[in-house]
Amino acid sequence: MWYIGTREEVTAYNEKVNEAKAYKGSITSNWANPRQHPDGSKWAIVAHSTEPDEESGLTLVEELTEDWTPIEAP
Amino acid sequence: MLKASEEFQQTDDWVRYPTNSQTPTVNADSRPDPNGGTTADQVGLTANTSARLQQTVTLSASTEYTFSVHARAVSGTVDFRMRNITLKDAEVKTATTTGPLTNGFTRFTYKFTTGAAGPYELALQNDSNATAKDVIFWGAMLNQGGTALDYEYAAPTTGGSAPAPAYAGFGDAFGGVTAYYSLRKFTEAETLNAIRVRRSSDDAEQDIGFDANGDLDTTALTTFVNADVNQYTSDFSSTEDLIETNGTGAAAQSVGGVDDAYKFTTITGTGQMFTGPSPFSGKGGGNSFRIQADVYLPSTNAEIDKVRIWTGYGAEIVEEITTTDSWVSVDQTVEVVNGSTLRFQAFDGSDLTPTTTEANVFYLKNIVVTQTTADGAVTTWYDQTGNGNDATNATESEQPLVVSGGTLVTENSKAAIDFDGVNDAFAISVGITSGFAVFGVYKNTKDGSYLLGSPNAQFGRRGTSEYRFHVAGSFSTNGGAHSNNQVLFTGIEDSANATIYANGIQQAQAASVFSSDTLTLISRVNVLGNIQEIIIFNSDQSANRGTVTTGGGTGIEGNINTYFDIV
Repeated sequence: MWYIGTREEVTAYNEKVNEAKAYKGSITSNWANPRQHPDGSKWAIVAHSTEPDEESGLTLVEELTEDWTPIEAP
Repeated sequence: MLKASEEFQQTDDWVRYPTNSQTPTVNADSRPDPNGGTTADQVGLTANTSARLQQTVTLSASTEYTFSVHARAVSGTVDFRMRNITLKDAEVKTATTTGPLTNGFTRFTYKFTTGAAGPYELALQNDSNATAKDVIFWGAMLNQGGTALDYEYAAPTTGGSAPAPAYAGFGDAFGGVTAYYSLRKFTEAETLNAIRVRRSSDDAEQDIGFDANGDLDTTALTTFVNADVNQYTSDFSSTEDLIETNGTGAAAQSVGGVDDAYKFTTITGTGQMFTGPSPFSGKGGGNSFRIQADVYLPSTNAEIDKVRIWTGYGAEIVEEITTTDSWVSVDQTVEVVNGSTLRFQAFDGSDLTPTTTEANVFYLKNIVVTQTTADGAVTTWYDQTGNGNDATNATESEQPLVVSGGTLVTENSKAAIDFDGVNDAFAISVGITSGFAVFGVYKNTKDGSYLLGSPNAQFGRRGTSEYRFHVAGSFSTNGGAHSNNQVLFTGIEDSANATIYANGIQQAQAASVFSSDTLTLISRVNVLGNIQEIIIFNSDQSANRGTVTTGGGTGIEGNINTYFDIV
């Protein structure tokens, strides 16, 4: 499951999850890295199963469509 | 007890590691010795932390021994280690040219106490800075007790052959490895960890090493990942913390001779009526939980005559309570895939959505939820060479699994790391220059995803299902039909050509004008499958590549295939 929104929205969502998780391991410190659509128009972030977005209105989708995958060099 | 005390060139006694490349050299009887003769040997330790001369001795149990050797530097000072490989113990020694003995020698000693009786491997080994160095050795000895006895010469073995080591890893055979990521042990001569693992139950992390066979220590791994973790314990003595749906909760209630219980009171009306904590949030996914609780259901209820303990998903039912007017203790284990809450739900017979004509009640106490299995995510895949090129990912959602739902991930009966094909990857920083080689054991079913990569480099599975060994502007080798099964991938750039091999068979070759790059990713564009080993040499390994035959082979590829049994 992924949330789609603006860079600010997905970044805020990630910070919210990080606060909730309060990681205590020595390595792990972050929930997810926002991913930008190749056309630059929107951002996505992996949805956490227990931390729903309740404020910013991010769009929840099951999977990212193929157009989110960067085009690799031939 | 040691043989060949002055003949370090005798390879039946002093076995040299690595055996195939970066092997130490011994220039016998080339240097003045402490007795004024010329029987000291100059040993060239290669630029490899596990470069060593090793001898196997059979020792008694629980006994103190002293290992001694005379040594001096050729010039200045030089560090080396005296090591008991079996005990995973060592001491660093610094040889000089100005030792107290004749010709500047110093007699160095290293004490240890054995465990069980049996063979022990002792070594004179490079220190951990992995620079090439020359050390002059003479007069090695091992005696019982805590001090070195007067030196006595011991002759070499006559006849026979060198003993096989207790374990021989890839690094005991091949030197010059730039980065080594594997779930098998690189060398028996170092105490190493394979991975650092985060368990999903409480996000605790732990390093995981190897067992005596050089395999990933799966016992330690699963014990850590599946350790019992308390996810919820109730205390209703003064307050309650459950989440009620179509009902209300109250703490500090007394019923059936028990105090400090929780009381759930339903609404009057129709709907699902339940209460409970949320101990499974983000923890389910097929993991197991032990559920303990005490439930009291009065017979005076107008409609509610059953309490079901479950997650709200049909397959995740813990127990159903129909006994009335006495406390019933529940102690069950349930596998949770989808649920997040532990529901104590009111039923009227089989009716999940009852209609109540008045407030119905039930009581709860002593709720304990213990997670008994978990996922094990890899946060760090250690570079076992000691070169410090560890592969890491600090982001939870991008960490691949080595334990899934409490079960070890395996490929062809050996431990493996499972990449999800979505965003799992590791960051690395491994420089490569013209003349390099990479070897990988993996299974990847996703087109356009790569075992190794950088913004310029793609080593793995091309979008067209071919093998791909490509650095933009330098070489682009593509061909063959990429396997959907476990495969040994080899890419060698020899300064003129870049060649791909799969399971020892050449797939494609193209000319190369490669200069340099830095590999930055394991699982570029997200492999879908398992990775078990990646070996990177910043040197051409065409001469050492070897062959693959069923169950074995020669050279590097034979070593890999012998362990992983790919072909």
